[in-house]
Amino acid sequence: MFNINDYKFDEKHNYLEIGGEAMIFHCHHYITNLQRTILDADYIDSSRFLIGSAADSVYYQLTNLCKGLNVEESKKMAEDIYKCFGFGLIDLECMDENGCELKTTNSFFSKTWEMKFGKRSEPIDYYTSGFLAATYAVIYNKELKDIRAIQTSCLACGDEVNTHVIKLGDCNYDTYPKKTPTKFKEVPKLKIDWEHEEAITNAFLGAHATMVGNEEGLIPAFGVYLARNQSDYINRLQFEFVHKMTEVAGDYGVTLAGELLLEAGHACGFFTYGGIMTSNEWNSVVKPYLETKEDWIKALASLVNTMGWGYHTAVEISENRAVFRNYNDFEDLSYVRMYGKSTYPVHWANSGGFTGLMQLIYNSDLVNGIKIETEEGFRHMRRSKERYKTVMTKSIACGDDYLEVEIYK
Amino acid sequence: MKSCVSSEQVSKIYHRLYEIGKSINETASTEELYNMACEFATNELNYEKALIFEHDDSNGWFKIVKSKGYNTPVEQKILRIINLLLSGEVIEYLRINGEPIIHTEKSPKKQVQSLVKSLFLTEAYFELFGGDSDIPYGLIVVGNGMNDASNFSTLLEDSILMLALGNFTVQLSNTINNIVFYKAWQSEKENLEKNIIKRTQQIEAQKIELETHRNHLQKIFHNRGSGIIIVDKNKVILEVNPKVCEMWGYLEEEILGQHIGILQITDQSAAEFREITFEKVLEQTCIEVDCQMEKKSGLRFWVQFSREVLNTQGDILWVINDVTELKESQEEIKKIHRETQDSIQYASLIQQAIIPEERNFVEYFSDFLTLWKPKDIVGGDIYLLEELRNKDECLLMVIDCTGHGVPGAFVTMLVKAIERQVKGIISADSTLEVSPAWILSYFNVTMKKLLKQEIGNTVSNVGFDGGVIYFNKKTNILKFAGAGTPLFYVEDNELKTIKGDRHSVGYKRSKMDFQFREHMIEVKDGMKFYLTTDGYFDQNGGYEGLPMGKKKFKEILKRNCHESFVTQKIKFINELKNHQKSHIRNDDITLIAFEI
Repeated sequence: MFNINDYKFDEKHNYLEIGGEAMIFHCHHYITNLQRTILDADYIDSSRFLIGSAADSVYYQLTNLCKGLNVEESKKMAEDIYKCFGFGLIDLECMDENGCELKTTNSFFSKTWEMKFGKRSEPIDYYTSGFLAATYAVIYNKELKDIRAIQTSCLACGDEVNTHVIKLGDCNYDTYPKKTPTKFKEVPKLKIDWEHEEAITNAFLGAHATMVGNEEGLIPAFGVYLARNQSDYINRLQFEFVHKMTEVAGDYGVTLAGELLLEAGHACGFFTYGGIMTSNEWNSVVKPYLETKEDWIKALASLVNTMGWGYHTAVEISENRAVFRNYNDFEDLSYVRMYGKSTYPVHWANSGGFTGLMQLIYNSDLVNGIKIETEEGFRHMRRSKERYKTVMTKSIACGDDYLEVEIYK
Repeated sequence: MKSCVSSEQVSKIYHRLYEIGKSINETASTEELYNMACEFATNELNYEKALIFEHDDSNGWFKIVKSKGYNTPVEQKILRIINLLLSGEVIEYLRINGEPIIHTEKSPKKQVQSLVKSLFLTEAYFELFGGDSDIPYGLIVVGNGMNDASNFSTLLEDSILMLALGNFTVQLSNTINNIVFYKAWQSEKENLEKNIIKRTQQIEAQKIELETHRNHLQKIFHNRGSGIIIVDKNKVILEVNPKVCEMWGYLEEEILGQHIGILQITDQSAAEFREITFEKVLEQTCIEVDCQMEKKSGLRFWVQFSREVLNTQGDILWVINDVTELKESQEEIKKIHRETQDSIQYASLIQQAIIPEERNFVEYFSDFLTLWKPKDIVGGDIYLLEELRNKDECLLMVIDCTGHGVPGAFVTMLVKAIERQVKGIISADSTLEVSPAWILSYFNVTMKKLLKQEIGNTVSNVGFDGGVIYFNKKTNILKFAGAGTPLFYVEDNELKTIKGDRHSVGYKRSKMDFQFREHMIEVKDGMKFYLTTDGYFDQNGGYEGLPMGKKKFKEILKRNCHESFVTQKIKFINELKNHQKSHIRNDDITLIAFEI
């Protein structure tokens, strides 16, 4: 029913859209770190936006994908995209007009949380609760605000299955105003100053279509588990977190939330880029082109420009200082679409990712094939006084033409 | 910066500092220390608010663990929310610069501007304490908020107060390090003590276990039915158990400390024994050897030595069993076997004696072959050729008695005896029409009666399959009757078969009154006849280990029937060998063939 190859990659904007939603990959390090950051701030009620954000994005996406499909076909579509995007496996046979009590033993969120942080006392798969709420709403023509979505058991808690109860009732998540269509910034791009950019980009163009859920509905790649997220879903988590922190902590809330989100982005860049740059594909296709450490950075940018995160480039690169840009980055576009203009830069994942990249290239032995794979190794590296600092200087959400970030020692 | 405090106040402050310094040591809790810090900052130095942040290494956060001056619910709520990241701007700045941040309205610091506001402060002093520059232990924040400033000391306005604050932070830093290190040391000490106790308990348990095992081994050593000797690498006896003393008739003290040679070896020289046993010690992990020994009394006996290497010092353990009776039994068995073999060999001579001589065939046939191969020394197959009433008549029988080996041979004797009776009956009546069918019937009835097999509850059940041929060379008449045995013959280059009756002779199941069919052939010169027991074509062989089969037998026959019987015999033997290959022989083989 659902075929990823039916959706063409927008090479002009380095963007992939499925059912009206921009789609981007994130690794399990980032997603679990982000969730933990949000949940650790237990003084804010985060479950409302953890579920609501997923419900909102999936609702719009499935509304478009299920147009013209009957109930069974729509269920199949939902099952297919859930699996294809790497979230696990769901069987919607139990869903009917009254909702469902769905059980599954394959969950990206539960599995990866337990991998990173061990068991927890409360269920963690908020995304699937939101996904199922949206699916129910679309298939049975309900309003999101009339649905209650609860996870009653979780593999990450030591239970045998994840159980999600979806029914009409007192809504336990936030709902949001309608989003505006994505608006790209049509500005001239500063190209990566590297002769092999086109070769690398062309080699990996379309590679994203090979990264789909396996028989367990998971996408293991580059030493991490990837999930193909609705960009608005994952970004809204950040934005809502910052908003809530500002509400409770005042002006410092923005700073604190921002620092935490940067940290999550840093972890993502560190582990995922590290995985990419030590993979067989990298060694066989890219490494022959690399001569300097700066080439490694440019090559990575050339590769990730095929992933739908925007067009990454560098104004300046050296060990002590780098200035990166991303044209039509997924975070800013998302913010603008959902919230309009911002008074502060909103691209923490991007910026954290760039920082992680600099750390990898100049402060570790990655170019010699040695990668730091453990949490302890990452934390040790982060404590070092040699670490890089990040300043987000430009943001499309603030009215600029592109994202820009300065990273220095 | 001037000082606005009086000398009395200064004295009080430093006296308090002194008291604090004296009262706290490494045994204090961090809770106590933080309390003192907040009290000092607010009571002695008269600042409005004080906060202590402590670093949580699991997530890199600095969380507020102690506060003073935060009284309202709103202020209290914020304390849970405000965290600082180790990698965040504020901590980062403090770590790298190693200097406190002092933020005032007149001299604001950008890094802490929003934080100060969120902490309900207008001016604040930030300084790290404890740990090291990579991972500080905590952060102290002292400052004033929105309340009436005249009630409180103002940051940067009084040098003595700033100095006192700085001094206190240094003291705080050193003390927290001492507390942390002391705790670690205590923990190490406790663990060490715990480990000592645990390890001692383990050793005690092991000792008990060893003692138990030792007791068990002692019991085995002393009570075992086998002798046990332990020798060192020089073959000096270290230990013996009572059984050894009993076996050889020595006292323990006569043996211990002696060379193993004291256990006198007869029949085998000590050198031979050494070669078999000690030299092979290193080659194998376990060896067994039988030897004849001599007791102290001079009596000889047999023992079986089993040996094991005990340890790396070369000590060896020998387990010895008296196998004299076993040896004697073995000798007896060998003797009986020899005698039995001799009997069987003699029986073979007897059986061969009743087999007709080849020259007898010459009297009646132009050419012939005889192939008689019992499976064992004696067998259940037999063939007989007897002259009847005159030189023109003969009776040829090829018989396959029940089984093979000795039992089969017994039955052949019985067959021979009955054959003599048959010959006697025929010879007594010159007008009697000799009938192979009647002969088979006679055998059938006679054997059943003799072996009491006409009733069903006898133990024995023997008989035979076979073919009987009556040949008169004067009249050129050949008569045949078969019991489970066919007659093959070649006439004008054509192979023909006369099947025997599907009825054996003499068995319990054989009918007493069975009438065998008789076949008569008018023979002419050149005709060739073949009579065989089933041993030939039932022989297993080939790639699949299956019997040769009658079909293949007939093919061999057809292929070679034009040859002389000398050649044919060789061909039959070779074909059998080629088919049989490495398979064992199934049965006795008898093949008789002749040419008119």
